[in-house]
Parts: sequence; structure tokens; C-alpha cells
Amino acid sequence: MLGNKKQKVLIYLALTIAAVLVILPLMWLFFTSFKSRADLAKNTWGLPKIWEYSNYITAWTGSRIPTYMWNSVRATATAILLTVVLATPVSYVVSRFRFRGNKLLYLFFIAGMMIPIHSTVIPIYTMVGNMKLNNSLEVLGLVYGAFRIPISIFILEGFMSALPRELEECAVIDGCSTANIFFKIIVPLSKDGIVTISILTVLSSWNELLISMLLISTPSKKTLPNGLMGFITEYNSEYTQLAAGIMISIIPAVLFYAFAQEKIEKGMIAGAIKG
Amino acid sequence: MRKESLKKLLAISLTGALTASTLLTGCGNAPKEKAETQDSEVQESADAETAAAESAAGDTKGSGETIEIKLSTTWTQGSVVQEEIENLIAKFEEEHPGVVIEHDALSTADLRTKLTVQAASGDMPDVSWCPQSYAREFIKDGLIIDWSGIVEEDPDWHAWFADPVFDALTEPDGKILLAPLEASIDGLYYNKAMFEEHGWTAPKTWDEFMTLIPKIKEAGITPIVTGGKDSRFAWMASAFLVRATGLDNFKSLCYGEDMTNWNNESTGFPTAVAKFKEMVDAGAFPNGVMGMSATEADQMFANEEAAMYYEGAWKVGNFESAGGAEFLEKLDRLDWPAMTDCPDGNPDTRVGGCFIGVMVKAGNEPEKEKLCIELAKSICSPDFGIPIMEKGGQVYPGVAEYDKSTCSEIMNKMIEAFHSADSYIPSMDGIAPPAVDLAIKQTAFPGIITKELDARQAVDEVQKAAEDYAASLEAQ
Repeated sequence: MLGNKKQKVLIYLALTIAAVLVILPLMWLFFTSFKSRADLAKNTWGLPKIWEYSNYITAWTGSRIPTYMWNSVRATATAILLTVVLATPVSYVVSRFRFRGNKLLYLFFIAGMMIPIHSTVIPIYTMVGNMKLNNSLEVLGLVYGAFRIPISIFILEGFMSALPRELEECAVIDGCSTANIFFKIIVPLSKDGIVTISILTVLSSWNELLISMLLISTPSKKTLPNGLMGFITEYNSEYTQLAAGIMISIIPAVLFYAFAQEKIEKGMIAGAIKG
Repeated sequence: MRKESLKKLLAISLTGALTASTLLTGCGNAPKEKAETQDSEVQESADAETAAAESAAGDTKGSGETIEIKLSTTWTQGSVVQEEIENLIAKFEEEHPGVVIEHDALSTADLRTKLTVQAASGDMPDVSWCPQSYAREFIKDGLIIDWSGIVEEDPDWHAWFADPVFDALTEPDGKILLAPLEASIDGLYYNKAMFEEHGWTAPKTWDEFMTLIPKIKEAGITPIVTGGKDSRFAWMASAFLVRATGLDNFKSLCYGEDMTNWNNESTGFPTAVAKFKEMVDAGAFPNGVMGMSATEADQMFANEEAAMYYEGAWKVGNFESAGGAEFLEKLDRLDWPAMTDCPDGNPDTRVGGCFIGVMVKAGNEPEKEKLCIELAKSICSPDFGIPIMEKGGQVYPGVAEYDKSTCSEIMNKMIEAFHSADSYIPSMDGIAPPAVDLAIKQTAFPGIITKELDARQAVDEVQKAAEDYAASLEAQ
């Protein structure tokens, strides 16, 4: 009994420390967003001496944050669409069908995980440039999606392999076609896996900087990370405005999490067990 | 209910597949078709400015009337120059109907990366901010124009700049790499008030500097600080090398006969590295300097926790942001200490000069190239550069007068130091091949600070980078 109590105290202590570690940077960012530059220099860790609300106004009006956000949404949505639409059927085929070369096909797809994005920037830039597709958020989303497909297939294959074969066999006996089995049985049962790959795609695409910096040069087409980097220059970095910009930019992510908390947690846990 | 949602899912999936296949099919068509597809798609969603720019995408002249000029600069919204450059673009477009300028503003690090990728794929921006060391590579590959003919043809424009400015941008074969944009000059900034309070003398020689370090440490103050995390060692590397070995040896190492002799004692680089190690071993830098960003270093200096700071003239603006105008009044400038035990070293050369300029892409149609040159000249004009200098944005490399009352005393001293210099040497990132510069500032100097490398190993790292670079040139 006493041991249980001690264990509980230790667990709560560890969780409290973990929570503080997560919250502290966010709190620092929040307070920094209300400081003047001089205040930040002299009073880096304290509360703002004078609350500078103007950082938010400047960040909002001077940096096209709403446009950057919308652009990030467009690129990310394309990436999710591509990832889900392509990774789901491929995962179905490699996990449920037995044919010669099945394993090879699976390895071919997941081998993409081993290609670092940095090694592909010059070919991607050249290809996109040759096809005159620069400055397109949808093309940017296609590139993001292409890089998510291998890991998504890896995760979904794990989900789908774990589904009982009897379900499919019953469906076949009832006269169900392969397409119907896929759409009416496999996809609904893999919903948690699909949510997981979607979340992972959001996380990687929303924060990506290098490819978007290379492929997008029109100011009104820049994505959020690329746009926010504009606050930093070699000679004059506006860190307080950057902090305000980041605070504004995380609002959609916070709202997204608040509304989809249950699904996200379920998806991540399910992925962890099955994947 | 369940059936309905499955139907929805099927519909969404099919729409997605259709969209993806449409786009992928588009990718397989001829380039012109793709450009048109892209253009029509963009026209629907982008604002007027973007749509105008993108309607021209794909061809130099979209409809025969519109010329799109791609301009890349480091003047993002965080820069004091941002408003001026937007005004200049608007004025240029107004004066040249049918010209649309697409301004891509990135931080210097990002722009360097992008220029490297663009050069590798042969798709340079039409006009761009560019460091001298990058321009040297680009002109070898025929990617950018040579300005020597333009300088000869336009004496009025030439007269804006003193000859040493153009000399700094001229290659041994007479080619001028860039239009001069930004002057730079180094300074060993020191807190004059702090020095007076403790009775310290500003160091003019290396021995004085090394004697001063323990005294400053005894007072509980860090002798010198820099942004280690941001690899801010390019200026210091040049200062050490020019004091240790002199101008000629320095240039010979960077682009002359000694390009693969960085480990040779006679070239002076091993001596420079040994001197740097001597400074590190004396405890000149604070603990954890390699985890410190340039901004954190600025804050430390402004909070009077460090006595000295070595870098370029633009730092004045950062110091003002970090410590306010009253902090600037406490500052003074010194040349980097002379190394009297290095007979080949040059004690008067200042690190700086003009090694940031504007490049113009080669290979455009003559009409477009003419417009690009005109735009580059506007960006390098006194009308554009002087107001920026008065705002503390950068030092204009031209000879034009400016209103000294608008600048702080320390900034005026920096500008004066630029104009009164006997000779200049660029910071390492402006003169050394990029691979060698990176080896110095990201491997050799940090390695000595973290004690992962001794002086010999640090020199060997740079030597290896230089040999790899030379081999890549031979392969070309």
C-alpha cells in the first residue's frame, strides 16, 4: 500500500517535471512576445517590464501571417491527400495479397525512408524548375507527400497485417469485390492508422523549411516557417516580433489538437502498438 | 449512416486520386503545356501582384509585353531596408511598364543555400545579393555577367565608388564580379567605460591583448564573446590570418598558388590557428560559447558581462537593439591587435572592404539583361544606399557624403575606419572557397574551442577541404 503511494508520488513528480519542461519554453515564448527588444536583452527570463502589445500588431500586419498560414494549409492538405490516397491502397496490396515479389515491392516502397531529403534538393529544384512549376503550393504538397509515402506505407502495412483474415473471407463468400473489401472493410478498420499517417504528415509538412524556401519565391506564396524566418536577418533580428508571430501561428495547431485530441491520441497509441 | 460516410470517403478518395493523376499527367506533358496549366491554376487563387508575376512564369516574356525579373535579397521584413527596397521596386516597375519584379527575400544563410542550389541547377535569379566568394564560382561557370565592360561604359556610375572598392571585386583576369552593394569594416569593439573603470588599456598588440585577458577574467568579466552557435568566426579567421601572414599570402591561399598549402608553415595559416588556440587556452571566450547564438552574444556584451566583441560594422545596430542608444555611447573601436612576432603579418590591413554586391544573371535576352543591370545599379546607387546607412542598416561603399548627425559616434567611427583603411581583406566567407570557409568556421575554430581538435588537427581539416575543392576544380 505504502509502496503504491510512493510509486504514485514518483510518477506524479516525473509527470510534473515533464509538464514543466514542455510548458516552460512556451511560457518563455509567450512572455518574449510581449517584450521590447531592449527588455529581452536585459531581462531574458523575467516577466515583461512593459507589455508590448504592438509586437502582435506588427507581426500580423507586417508579415502576411494569415497568408502564410493559408499557404501552409494548402501545401499540407495536398500532402495529406496524396499520402492517404496513395499509401492506403499500396499498403492494402502489400499487406493482404500474396504474390511473387510482394516482399520486394514492400521493400521498394519503404526503401524511400532511407533517402534523406537534403540529398534530393538539387534534382527536385531542377525538375520543378524545368517543368515551370515553381511557386505552386500544390507542387510543394506533392513533394511533401512523396516523402511521406514510404513511412506511411510502413505504418499502414503494420495496421492492415494485424486485421483478421476471416473478415475478408466472409466478405468474399458474401460476394464482395476486392474494391468493396478495401473501401468497406479495410479502410474503416484502418481508420486509426490513416489518422496516424495524416498527423505525421501534418507535423512534418507544417514545419518544413528547406524545400519550401527553394521552391517558393513569390512573397504571397510563402509558407509559415519560411515567412516567419523573415523576422531574422543577419544584421537585425526581430526576435520579439518573431515570438509574437510564432504565438499567432500555433493557434491553429492548438485548436486542431483541442478538437481532435481524442482521435490524435488514439491514432498515435494504436500506431505505436501495431506499427 | 455508416454507408453514407463510406460513400463520402469513396468520393473524397476518388477526387483525390483524380487530382493527383491530373497533376501527375500534367507533369508528363511538354513544358509549355505545364506552364500554362500552372498559370491558369495560379491565376485563380493568387492576388493581383502574384498573378501578374506568374503569368510571365515560364518565358522571359509571357505575352510579349511583360518581363519578369527575379530579384533575391536578404532584406526581409525584419530588415531596416525592407521598406526602401519595396519602394525601389514599385518605382522601377512604374518607370518601366511591363516589368514585374518578383522579390524573394530570405535570410543570408537561406539565400546562400538557395543560390548554391540554383547554381547547381543552372537556374540563377536575374538579380541577386551575392557574396564575392560565391560570385567567383558563378562567373567561372558563366552564370553571371562580368561588370568590367559596364564600368568602362558608364563613367558616371563608376565615379560613385572609389577605385579600391572595384579593385576588391576585380579578379586577376580583370573581370568585375559584382556591382558594389555593401561596405564592411571590422572592429574590435570594447566597452570604453568598463575599461576606464578598471584601468585597463585598449590592446594594440597581440602581447597586450594576451596580457589583458587574465586581468579581465580576474574582474569576473568575460574578455571576448561571439556567436559560436552561429559559426561567427569568419571575420576573426581573416583577422588572425592577415596579422599572421599578410595580404599576399592570404590571397595566395584563397585563390592563388597556395590553394592547397593551408598546412604549410610558410603560408602562415598554422601560425594563425596556433594564435587562435593560444587565445582560447587563455580563457578568452565564455564557457558554453559554442552554444551561444549571435543574439545571445550581443545580449551578453550589452549586459556588460563581456568586455570585447569582434565583428563587422553592422553589429552597431544589434548592440543598439540589445543595449539601447546609451550602451552605444560606452563603445569604442580598435583594429585587431598587431602580431609583432609575425614578420610577414600586416598590422594595418582591416578586415572588410566590399565583398557583398549585386550579381546579374548571364544569358538573358539583351533587353532583359539591360533592365537587370539598371535595377542592380539602382540598388547600388547613393540614393538608395545613403539613407540606409543613415538608418544604421549597412555601410555604403560609395564616396557620397552623408549626414553624420543621424549616426551614433561608434557608427561614424566605423565608417571613418572604412574610408581611412590602407588596405582591406574580406572576411573568410567573402574570399575563401565556400568549402574552405566552412571548414574553418564550422570545424577548425569550433573544434579548438571544444578541445576536440588540437591546432595541427584543425589545420589538417582545412587542408583536406582545400584539397577536395582543388580536386573538384580539376574534375571540371
